Amino acid sequence: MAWQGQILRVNLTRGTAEPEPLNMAWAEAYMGERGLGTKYLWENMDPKADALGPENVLIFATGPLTGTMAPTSGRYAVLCKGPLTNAIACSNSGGKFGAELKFAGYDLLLVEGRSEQPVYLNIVDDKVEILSAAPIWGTSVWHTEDWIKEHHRDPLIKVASCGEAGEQLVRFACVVNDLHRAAGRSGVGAVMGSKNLKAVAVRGTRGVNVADPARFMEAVRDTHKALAENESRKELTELGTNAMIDAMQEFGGLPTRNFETVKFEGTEKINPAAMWETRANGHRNMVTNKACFGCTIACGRVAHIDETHFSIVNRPEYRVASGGLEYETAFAFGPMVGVDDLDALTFAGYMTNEHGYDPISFGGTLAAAMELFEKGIITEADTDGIALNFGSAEALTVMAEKVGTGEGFGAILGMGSRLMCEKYGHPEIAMHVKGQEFAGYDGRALQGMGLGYATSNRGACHLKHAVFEEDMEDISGNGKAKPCKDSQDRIAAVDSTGLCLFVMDAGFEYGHFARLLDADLETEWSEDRMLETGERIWNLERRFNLAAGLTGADDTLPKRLLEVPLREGSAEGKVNELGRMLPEYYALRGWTEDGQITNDTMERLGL
Amino acid sequence: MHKSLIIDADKCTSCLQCEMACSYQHTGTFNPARSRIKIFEVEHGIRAIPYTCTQCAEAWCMQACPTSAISRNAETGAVEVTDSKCVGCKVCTVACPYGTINYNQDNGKVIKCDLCGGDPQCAVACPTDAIIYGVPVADEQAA
Amino acid sequence: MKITVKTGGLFTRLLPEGTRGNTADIDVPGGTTPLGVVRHLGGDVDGRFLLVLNGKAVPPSERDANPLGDGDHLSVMPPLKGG
Repeated sequence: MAWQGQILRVNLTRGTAEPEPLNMAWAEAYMGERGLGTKYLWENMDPKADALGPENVLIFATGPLTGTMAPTSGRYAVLCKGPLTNAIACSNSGGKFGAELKFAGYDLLLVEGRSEQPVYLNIVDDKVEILSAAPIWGTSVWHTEDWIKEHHRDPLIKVASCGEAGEQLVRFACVVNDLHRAAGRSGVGAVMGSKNLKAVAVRGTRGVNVADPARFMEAVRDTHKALAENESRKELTELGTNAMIDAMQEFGGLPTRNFETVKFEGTEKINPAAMWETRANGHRNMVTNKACFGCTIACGRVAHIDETHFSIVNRPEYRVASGGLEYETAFAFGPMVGVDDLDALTFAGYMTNEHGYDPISFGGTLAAAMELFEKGIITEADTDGIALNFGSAEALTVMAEKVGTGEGFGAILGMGSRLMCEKYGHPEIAMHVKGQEFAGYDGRALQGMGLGYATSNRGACHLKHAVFEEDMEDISGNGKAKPCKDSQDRIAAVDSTGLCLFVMDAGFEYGHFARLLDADLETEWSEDRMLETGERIWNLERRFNLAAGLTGADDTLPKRLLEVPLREGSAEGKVNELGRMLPEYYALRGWTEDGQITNDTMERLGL
Repeated sequence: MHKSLIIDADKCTSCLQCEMACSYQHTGTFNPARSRIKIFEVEHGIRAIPYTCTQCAEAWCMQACPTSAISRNAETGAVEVTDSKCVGCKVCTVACPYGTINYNQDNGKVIKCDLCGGDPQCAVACPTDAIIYGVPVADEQAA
Repeated sequence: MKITVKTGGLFTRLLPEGTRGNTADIDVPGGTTPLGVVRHLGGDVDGRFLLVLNGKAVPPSERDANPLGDGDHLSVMPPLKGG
C-alpha cells in the first residue's frame, strides 16, 4: 500500500523519538496530509493551548500519493495551532522533503514539547537522532541546509528548517525546505522555533508501493498526458503563477497600497514579460524554471538580481540565481506596497527564503506600516530612520532584511499587521482575517473569494477555496455561497492527497485524483468519497477553531472591504456583500446562524 | 549504431520522474534511492544534471568482473549484470571511473543502467526531453 | 475599424507578427464582438479566458452579443485562478 504504515512521534521535552503504527481508521476517514494531519492535531493537543508554548503540537504530514510517480507528488503539510491567528495552521509545501520523509519510512512526523537547547532532528530511515543545533542556531535557512549536508557528508539529505525568523518567533515565519520551497503561511515556522527545533534532516531509502501498480501506472500516464497537452499548464511552465498579474490588473482586482485601489500603474514592470526581458546592459531577471518532486509542470521561477542594483551592489553573496517571483510575492512586494522595481522585489523574495518568513503576510504588514507612516501615526523615529512611503524600493528591501534578522523595526513588523496596528492604536489599518494578511485578490472585486477569505479556517487565504471563474463572470455576490463552500471541500480533499493544488488549473479533472487514489490505496476512492472527506476535514478544522475560542464573529472582513466602494475596475462601486452571503453559506454548511456546527452535521460527517 | 540515452542538462527541471520510473521498472516500487539514473543538483539547487551509465566502449566494470557476471547485450549495446552470477564483490564499482555501477544492500548484487532492454523508462517519463533515447546526431552523421 | 488589443499570458502570441510588447492596434470589420476578436486573432474561442472591454469584464452572455466600437480597448487575458 501507499502508506508506510508508521508515524514518528518526537517528544522534545523528553528527548525521545519513537515510531508508532499509522492509525489506519483515521487515514480512511481523513485521507492524508492536510486531513490526516488535522485529525492527529485534534487528537493530540488542546486547541486552547498557547500557540508558542510547549503544549502546541507540530506535524509534518505526507499524503497517500506523496512519493509516488503521480505528477506533483512531493507535497507535505505542516500543521499546528498558528501564532498569527490562534486558529489551526495548515500550510503545505513542495520541493523534495515531503517525499523523502515518506521514503524514510514515515507517513507523518509529530513533534511534541519543547527542547531546552536548540536541536535538529536527523532521520536516516530507522535511525533517528536528536542532535545539538548549536552550530546553526541563529543562522539562515540557506546556511543551515548547507551545514547539515556538509556535516553529514551527504548532498542528498533533504532539509526543512525555520530560519532566524522562526527562532525569533516572527508570527508569520515559515518552514522552508529545499532552499526555496516553503510551508509559508500562518506562522508554522515560529512554532518550530518556539520548540527550539531548528531543522529536520531526512534521508530515506525505502520505496513506496501502491495497491494496484498496473492500474496506477495507467492513471499516471493519463495524468502526465493531460498536463502535457493543457494550455494553462504550458503557461504555468513558461510564465509561472505570475502570469496572473496582468489578468488581475485588467480585471481590476489587484490589491494596491493596502487596498486603497485595485489597479497598479507599475504592473508591467513586474509581470512575466518584464521578468523575461533582456535589458540594455544584457541582464535578464529570469534564469530558468524548476520543478518540485515528481512535478511535470515546473512553475517554480529561478531568477537573479542585476549586479548594478542598489540592493546587492556591495553584496557579492547575492549575485547568485535563486527563487524568483511567484504571483503572490509579486503582488505582496509590488502593488500591495506600491513598488515597481523588479530587482527590489526579487531581493525581498531572496530574504523570505533565506530567513524563512511568509512574503504575503510580510507585504501586508509592511503595507499597513506604510499607511501608518503616511498618515503620520508612526515616523522615522519608529522606523529606524527609514521613510516608509508607499513605492519606496529601499523601504521594501531594508525592511525585508530587518524582519528576517529581527533587527529594529523588523521586530515590530514581525508581529504581523493585526498586533502591529493594535500597538499603534489603529486596528482598522490592518488588512487581515483572523490575524492573517490577504493574498492578491480584492474581496470587493471578487465576491466569492471575499466570502472564502472570511470563512477560511486559517485566516485570509486564497488557496483554500476557488471561486475565480464565478466571480469573473458575475461581479455580484449572488449565488457565491455554494461555489465557495463546494470549492472549499473539493480543495480540502486535494490538499490531503499529496499532490499539488495547481494541477487543477493545468489539465487535471477531479476524476483524475480519484483514479490515482483508487489504484494507490486498498479501499475504493471515488469523487464522491473525496468530496465527503473534504467536507469532514473542513468541519474538523472548524471544530478545532471553535474549541480554540473563535466564533462566527471571526468570519468577517476588514471594514475597508465591507464599507469602502471600489473606485475603478470591473467591480467599480462595489463593496463585499458578506452580510448577504454569510447566512447562505452557514445554511449550506449545516451550521447554526452564529456559525456553530450542528449535531446533525457532526453526525452526518462522523465527527 | 546503437541508440543511447542523450542527456541535455539544460532542459532538466529536477522533477525526478526519471528516478521514479527507473526504480519502478527495476524494483516494482517508487524509490529514487534505488534508481540507476541520478539527478545531481548544483549551484544551490538551481541547476540539475541527470547522470547515468554511458554504456562506454571500454566497459571497465565488465573487464574487472571476476565471475563474468557483466556482459554486453548485442541488441541494445547495454552492459548488463547477470544477477545469478554476481557475487557482490564490488570490484566493478571500483573499476568504473564514472561511479555508475553501484552495490545494492537489499540483495547483495550490483546494479546499473541496462537501458530497460531497449525501452528506457527514464526517457519515457521525462516531461521536458532532457533525456531522450536515440542515435546522437554526431554518430548519425558519421554513419 | 481600429481597436486596441492588450493580451496577457500566452495570448500575446496571437498578436500580429512584429508586435512589440503585449498591446497592438488591429483592424477588425464593423460589427465584430469581443469574442469575434479572439476568433479574428486565431484564438480558441472555446478555451477559458478573461475579456475586459474598456476596463470592465465582459460577462459570458455578452461576449458574442454587443459589437465593438471604433477605438475600443479590449484585453484578452488568461482565466483567473489561484497562485
